[in-house]
Parts: sequence; structure tokens; C-alpha cells
Amino acid sequence: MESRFDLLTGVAYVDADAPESWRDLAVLPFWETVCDPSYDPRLPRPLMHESLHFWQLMWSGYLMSLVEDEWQRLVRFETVGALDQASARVKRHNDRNLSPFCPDDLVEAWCRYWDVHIRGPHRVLEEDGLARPGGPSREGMYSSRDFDTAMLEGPSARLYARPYRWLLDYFAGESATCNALFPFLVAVAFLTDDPTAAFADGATALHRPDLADTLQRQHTETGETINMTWLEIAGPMLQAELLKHVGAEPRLGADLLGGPLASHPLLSPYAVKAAKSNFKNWTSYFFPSEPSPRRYLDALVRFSREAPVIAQQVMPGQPWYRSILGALIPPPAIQFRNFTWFAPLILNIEIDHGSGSVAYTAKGDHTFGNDFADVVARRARFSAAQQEAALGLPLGSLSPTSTPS
Amino acid sequence: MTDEQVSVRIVAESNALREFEEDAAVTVQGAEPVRPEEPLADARFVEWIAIAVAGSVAALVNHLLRLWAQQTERGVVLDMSTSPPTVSYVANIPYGTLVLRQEDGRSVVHHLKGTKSGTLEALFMEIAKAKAKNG
Repeated sequence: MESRFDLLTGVAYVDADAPESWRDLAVLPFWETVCDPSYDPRLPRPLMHESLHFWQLMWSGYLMSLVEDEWQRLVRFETVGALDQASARVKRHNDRNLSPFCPDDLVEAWCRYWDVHIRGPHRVLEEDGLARPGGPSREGMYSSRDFDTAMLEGPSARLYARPYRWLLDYFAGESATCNALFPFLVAVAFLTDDPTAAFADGATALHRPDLADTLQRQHTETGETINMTWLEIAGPMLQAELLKHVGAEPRLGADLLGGPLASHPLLSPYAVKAAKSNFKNWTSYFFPSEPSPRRYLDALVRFSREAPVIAQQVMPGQPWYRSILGALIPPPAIQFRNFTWFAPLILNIEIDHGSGSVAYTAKGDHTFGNDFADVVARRARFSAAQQEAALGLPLGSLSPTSTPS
Repeated sequence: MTDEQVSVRIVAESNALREFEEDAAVTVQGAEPVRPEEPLADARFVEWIAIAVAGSVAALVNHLLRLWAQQTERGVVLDMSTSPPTVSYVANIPYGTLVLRQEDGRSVVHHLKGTKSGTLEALFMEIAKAKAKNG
């Protein structure tokens, strides 16, 4: 089994066993305990990585429009038996001839960025068999050098490193600045129809001496913790600097689920699920269990009130925001080696005010399990048809029901 | 098995490269990352690469069979229209299926039985030998 995220179905595949206790849970505890050493060591990294891809999809109107194009192509294939050409934007998405990189490179870099921050560069470097760079490092902290090494090297670096390296070069190797700006540049870029150009334009707009000074000051004032830096600069960076470059109303991925994707059994319910995930409604349910500095908690709450929809999805590196994302908009299905976990169609939350305990259930026992097998089978037929067309074979010839040789 | 030397391009998971590099019976001539050609391909956690490798037919067939046994969710495309021939383990083709793309571009589908198929080995052998003879 191969760990992967299937954009067209929204299904995450994780090549590891999940704890058996997760089998019937409506909310996985994983989002708060990503680095729990008791997990199968093969589990946390791909599960986090593939889940991040799902949140990218919910965030990005650009990515969701690609899925919309492909879903329409699949439906037309099923109804009239014709396999149309992929749309121009779908073809362009992973066109390796684009310079300096294609949107797909940026998707992977975006995912890797959070993957490294969430799980920590030290752990990622160790898993990838890479040595930590030299230089001082405070106990329990990581440096921008640690982060850059994890971000730019490793066995799959050719897939994800290019955009981050490009940004680092653009900012003359100013790692702390790149690190702070990258998640906002890339998030806003994926609200446009041309993420690569928007990413480059955003970098140009932010390449100013006064901004570098401001970032350096923020970095020092926040005790050099990146989680605080993100919160301090998120509002001004997103609203005053970057969103104005988007032009028209930014398109969130979940906003597109009412169109042609309304017939998508695994994605369309997220139109409601995402709308209900407004952060400020949920703060009391997902207050972090780990003790955190008061200043940090205040900043989390303040930003969630100022920008409730974007707070969670722009910053899954904040454990509190990630817990809400994982509980309210997890992938519809996660196939592990030992079982497939299905998200509730509607999450029921019951709070016992006496004990303070919270119970999560799937309302009416309805999960995405009802539609999973059918959607995956439809996807497999569609993919096989594309392969048949590419190989010049008649439709259906790759079906295993044909006569064996 | 035969000792004739052939070259093949193999599209496989990047960790297969080490297997070839550690085998003295084959020579790795190059490796480059590849992405699936399907539009909007899955975001995959594992990098796929194309490995250009040369060696005896016997040694290469052993590697190809081992990769085939590992890739239990993928079928095989053996493309004789490229030079050197390309062997790809493809997600959109059911496991147990081998598609032989001939030098004239036409494709033939073989559905194989079992996981230790003599048919697959025989096909790899014939193809490798034919290519060796034809240069």
C-alpha cells in the first residue's frame, strides 16, 4: 500500500497500522497527539501529510476547481462513455516545464512546510537519515537552519524543495523571513487561479527593507518562537499586504462545493461541514489540553475572532487550530493498513457540564463509509479508462474480468 | 537464464534505486524523478523515479520480478517502443495485469494468474532477449 492523497475523491491512504481503538471513533485523538511516541513510527508522518493535503483542498478555490473539472469529466465518462481531454488548468497544474516551478510543486512544498513544523525538523531529519546542521540550538527548540535543512534535503526533496529554495534565494538566504512569510504567501496564492504567479508577485510585494525590519522585531519580541510570529504577523500580512493582490473575492475551496461537485458523495457534505467549522464557535470545545503560555493563548483567541474562517486553515501548525480542523473537517475516509476510518457526516458533540467531559458521535451513525466503496470504484474505472486511452487500448480491456493468459 | 547484456529504463519507487546500486551484476546509468502522466494525479508520499540500468537478462529479470511482487496494487507496462524499453509499475492498472506495448505502438494485455507467475518471467525474458538481438 502506498501513502497518498487522492484529490478527486478526498480519500487519504496511509501505509501504516492505526491503533485499533481508533476504529469506531468519531474524532481521532491524533490531531493533538501527532508526536506521541507510542504510535507505529510509520503512522504520524503520512497521516499528517495526507491530512494537510485535504485541508489544502478545503482552503483553495484553485485546487477545488481542478477537482471540479475532473469530476465533471468523470461524470461525463460514466454517462456518455466519452473520455474528454483534461482541462487546460488541470494539464497546467503539474506541467514540469513551467518556470520557476509548477503549481503542483507549490502544493507539495506547502504540505512539507507544515509537515516539518508540526512534527519538528529534528524528528524529520532523523527519519530521513540527515545530520542536523551545526550551530547553537536551545533545548526543546529548533533553529531556522534545522528547518531549512529538513525543508531542502531528504529523499523526496526534488518534489517539494524548489519553491522554498526559490523564496530563500529571492530573500538572499534570509531564512527567518522566508519561514515567517511562506505560509501566508502560499495560502493566498492558492486563492487565485494562478498560484505560481501569485506566489511570486506576493514575494515581490513583500520584499521591502521595512518589512524585513518589522519581521526581525516581531521575531525577537515573540521570543523567536515561530508559532507566536505567525500569529503576530498573520493579520497584517494577510489582510493589508497579500489579499489585496488577489483582486476579486478570494475563492475558498469549500465555497465551490455547491456547483458541479454537489453530486460528489464524499466532498459535497463539506459545504456544510466547513461552514460550521467557524473557529470562534468552537473554542470552548477544543481548548488545548497541554499547558501553554497565556500570551500565546490570547493571541490564538484574538486571531480566531478577527479571522475565524482562515485562522484554522492558514495555520494548521497551531495545535489548537489543528485540533479543530481534525475534529470538524477531517478527510472523509482514511484507509490505513488494518482498517478504513470514516468521518461522521455530521458530528454530534455532547458535553457533560458536571464532569466537563466531551463525547463525539456520528449523528444517526451516518458516516462517509456508506458511499466510500462506490466512489473509489468509480474513480478506479475512470483512472483505468485514462490509462487505456493512453495505451491505445479499447475501453474495458484492463478489467481483471477479461480472459487470463 | 541468459548472460546477454541489455539496458532497461525502470519506473519505480525511489527506494528501488538502492537495490540496483547494491547489485554488482547491474550498472545504474542514471536516475531522474518522474510524475504520473495522469492529469490531477494523486499527491503521493513516495517519490517515483526512472532508473536507467544495464545488466544481464537474468539479473534484470530477477529485479523486475521482485519489484512486481512488491507492488501489489499496481500492474506493469512493458513499453518496447522506447529505447531502451521501459518497464513501469502503474497504479491505474490492476495488479496481475501486464500491458505489452509493442514497437509499433500497439498494446496487448496479459492478465496473469498468481503472484509467482511463470508467464510474467517468460515475458520479461522473451522481451529482453528480443531487444538484445535487435540491438
